[in-house]
Amino acid sequence: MTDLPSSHLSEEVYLAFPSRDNLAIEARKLDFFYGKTQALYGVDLPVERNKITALIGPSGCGKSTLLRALNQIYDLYPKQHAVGRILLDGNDVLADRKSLQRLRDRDGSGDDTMVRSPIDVAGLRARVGMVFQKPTPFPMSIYDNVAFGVRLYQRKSRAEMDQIVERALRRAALWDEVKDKLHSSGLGLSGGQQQRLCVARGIAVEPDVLLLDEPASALDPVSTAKLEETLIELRRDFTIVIVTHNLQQAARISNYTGFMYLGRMMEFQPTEELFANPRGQRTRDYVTGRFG
Amino acid sequence: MDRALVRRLSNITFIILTGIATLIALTALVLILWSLLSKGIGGIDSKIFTMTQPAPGSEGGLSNAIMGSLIMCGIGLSIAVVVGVLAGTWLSEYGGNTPYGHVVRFLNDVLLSAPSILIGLFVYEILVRPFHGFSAWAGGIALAILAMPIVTRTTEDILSLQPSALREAGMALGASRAFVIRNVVWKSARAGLVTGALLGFARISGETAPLLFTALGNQFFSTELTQPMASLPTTIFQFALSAYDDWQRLAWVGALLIAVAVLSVNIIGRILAREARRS
Repeated sequence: MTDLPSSHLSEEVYLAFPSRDNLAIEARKLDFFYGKTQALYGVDLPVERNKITALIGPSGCGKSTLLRALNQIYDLYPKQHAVGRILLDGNDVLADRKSLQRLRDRDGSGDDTMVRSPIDVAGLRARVGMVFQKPTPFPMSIYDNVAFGVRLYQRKSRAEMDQIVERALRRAALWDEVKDKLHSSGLGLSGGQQQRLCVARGIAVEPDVLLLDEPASALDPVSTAKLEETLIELRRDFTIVIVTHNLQQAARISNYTGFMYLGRMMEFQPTEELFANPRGQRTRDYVTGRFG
Repeated sequence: MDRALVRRLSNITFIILTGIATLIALTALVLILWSLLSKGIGGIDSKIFTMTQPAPGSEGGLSNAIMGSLIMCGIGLSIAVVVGVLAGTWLSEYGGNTPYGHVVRFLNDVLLSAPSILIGLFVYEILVRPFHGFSAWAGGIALAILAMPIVTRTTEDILSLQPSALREAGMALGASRAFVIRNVVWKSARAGLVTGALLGFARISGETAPLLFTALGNQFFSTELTQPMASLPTTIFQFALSAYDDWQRLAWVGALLIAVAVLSVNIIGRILAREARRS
């Protein structure tokens, strides 16, 4: 990624954030590094509760990186790290000792009041679910796929688990298609069904936030429409952040849209505003399809 | 001469040469199988599986050698699968890219092509000499050392083929890394892991040299793990070198049994590997 001086871009930045009172998760001044390569530059992202927030932008702009930072899945890879704050219900989930040191190194000073005891990353991830670009059903039955996350945290009776599985599958709009074959392999489903199975698996643990990384890019139009309907339904119970290459999709389902470019949040507005009345030149070019 | 003609001639020559080479390789294989079948199949009857090896000139079978081979291959494979799968998992999931990981992978590759007689001598030094006796344990462990690098290698290869999104999806639900590896990654790679074990079995089932130094051989039926034990390869070695016709016939039968076992295990392994790639 080319590193343009931020002053060059900052003229265009336009952020119309929702009020901070009702945010489910928020990134503040977030930098992200793949080894020595910086991929995010001081990104702010407010995610309002029970709304769908879409992230758009050309390939390599950092949308997926930002999403992966929100549930710290990058922790799997030792060379990746984030500097900044990620607030989940006002608590800094990034505040382990090492990250705070990095924050002090960057900002000169920092308050240690929010130090988190040795990270409970697993606990964080349980509250911030994730669905990936390609469907990732586990090699087990449909039932066990959905129950997988729940079993990690709670011991449930058979009957209770049956209820949880049914509820999750119903909310993911998959129940009617699979209710007669709950104990056959999840790998036998179609691509669209597999993706809704992954959504069901993600919401079965009742997370606060559901992150979706281009969930429809491997699906046909009918499956995509079904998935979108599902997401709009889910908005009532969950907060959703979705990365998408499909501008119509962002326009159709999201309440807020962030346009990212070269690792920066260039414009953040209510979706209708951003598409009808983009402030920045680059945003306008992108949403009208002049580049991307 | 015309350029196009030269090209066509050299092309045809090359095709013919590769064809002949393939034919030679195949002929060798077919001749081996043919001589095994023609000389071995006549000797196969129920006595082979029910009676122990005879004195020259009397009736007998190979039951002691068959049982010995099964026991020692069983010991070898059990140890090799446990160690190999864990080591391969470590290489693929944890330490594969660290300097230590590179050293481990290199040493494993060296072990993969180590002469089996060296491994026999090694086990002789650490398990036979100190305990003053040949034993089935020593034989099984020698076979384990032979199969281990194969299982390690296939495990690493097959695990690194599993998509990283699968691991991320497991961790994104809040599971620990170890939990995801055991319950998702291994499950997804199951067929490949079995293939690795089968390849290990195919390798060790015909090994003679490491068993000569460790399990020695035994003309009686024995399941005593601390005592010398018979095995098909060592019995074949002994009988084939003998001057007696009936012993030589039994050696052919033993060789046929091993060949059939290895062939069927290889075929099963291939079918499983294809299944693994498909899913």
